[in-house]
Amino acid sequence: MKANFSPSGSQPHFESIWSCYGVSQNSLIAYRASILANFKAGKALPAHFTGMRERQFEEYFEQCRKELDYVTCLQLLSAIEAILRLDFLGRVNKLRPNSKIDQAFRDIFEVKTFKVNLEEDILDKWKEYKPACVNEIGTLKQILRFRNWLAHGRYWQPRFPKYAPLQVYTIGKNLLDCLQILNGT
Amino acid sequence: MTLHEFLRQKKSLSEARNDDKLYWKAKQHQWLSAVKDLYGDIQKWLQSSIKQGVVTVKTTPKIITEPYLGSYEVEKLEIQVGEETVSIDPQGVELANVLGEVMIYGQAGQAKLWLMPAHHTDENKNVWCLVSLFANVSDIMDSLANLRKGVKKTFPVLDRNSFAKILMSIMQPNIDES
Repeated sequence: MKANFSPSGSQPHFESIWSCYGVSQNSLIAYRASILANFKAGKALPAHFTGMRERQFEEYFEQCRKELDYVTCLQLLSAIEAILRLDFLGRVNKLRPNSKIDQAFRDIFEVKTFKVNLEEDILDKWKEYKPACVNEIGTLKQILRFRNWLAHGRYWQPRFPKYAPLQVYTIGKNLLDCLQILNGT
Repeated sequence: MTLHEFLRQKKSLSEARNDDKLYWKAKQHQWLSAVKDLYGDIQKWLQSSIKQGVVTVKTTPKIITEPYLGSYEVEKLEIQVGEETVSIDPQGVELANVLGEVMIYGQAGQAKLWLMPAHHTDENKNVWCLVSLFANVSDIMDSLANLRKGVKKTFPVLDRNSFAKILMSIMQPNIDES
C-alpha cells in the first residue's frame, strides 16, 4: 500500500533554523547593548521599557534569551521529526528493491497507515536495520522527552536534562548524517 | 590604530561618560526638587487634619543607592494616623523614560508614583502620576501593564482627590468595634 500524501512544504528546515538562531541571538545581544547604552545616556526607550531599571533590563533580556533557546530547541526537534517522517513516507512510496528498511517501513505503514509512532515505529526500526547508528538514535530518543516538555508548556518539573540549542543541533545532525538522510536544506 | 587616534578615542569616551554623569545628576536634582514639592502638596492636602491633630507628619532620612549615581540621602515622609503609618518612600531616578519613582506604603496596600516628563502628559510641566495601586481590599489598577502591552494610556495625575483615593485604598478599612 502506498502512502497517499502530499507534503505541505511548510515544515521547518533544520539548517535554516540553526542559521536564524545565530542571527536572532546576535540581534538580541546588539539590541540589549543599544538599550543599555541609550538608557545610560538618558535617551528615550521604546514604551515597553518604561519604568524599568538597569537590572530589570538584564532580567528581561535573559528571559528573552532563554525563550529563544527553548523555541529554537523545539523547532530543531520538530524539524528532525518532519525529516524522519517524510523520509519514512518516501521509502513507503518508492520502495527500492533490496532495501530492507524500505520494506520494513512499508510493512509498518500497511498496519498503522499515518498513525506511525516516531519512536517505536521509525526510530526503533532504524536501530534494527542500521545498528551503526544505535547511539545517535538512542540520544535522540532521550531528547524527545525534553521536546515533549517544551511542546506541552513546560509546566511540570522535568526529571531529565535540559538541552541547549547547540546540543540539539549536534544530536540531530549526527543522527541525520549517520542515517544518511538529507536534512531538508 | 595610531597613538593619536587611540588618545582621541579615549578623550571622547571620557567626555561621553562625563555627559552621562551630568545627565544623571541633572535628573536627580530635578527629581529631588519634585519630591520636596510633592511633600509640600501632601501637607497642604492634609492641612486641616494636621491642624486638628488627627494626623501628624514627619520626615526621616533614607539612603538610596543607584548604579550611576551611587549612594545619596533623601527624606521619607511619614504620615501617622493613630497607630497606622503611611510612608511616602522615594525610590530613585534611574528608570527608563520617567524622571523618578516614589512608592506610597500603607498597611493594606501600596501605590506607585512616577514623575512623568511634561512631553508625556497633557500638562506643560513634569507631574506626579499614579502608575499602580495595589490594595488588599478593593482597587487594583495597573496602568503600567497596559503601557507595556502597547496600550496608549495617560496615567492619572496625582492631585488632592487621587491622593485621598490612594490613602483610603492602602490604609486599613475602618471597622467600628464598639
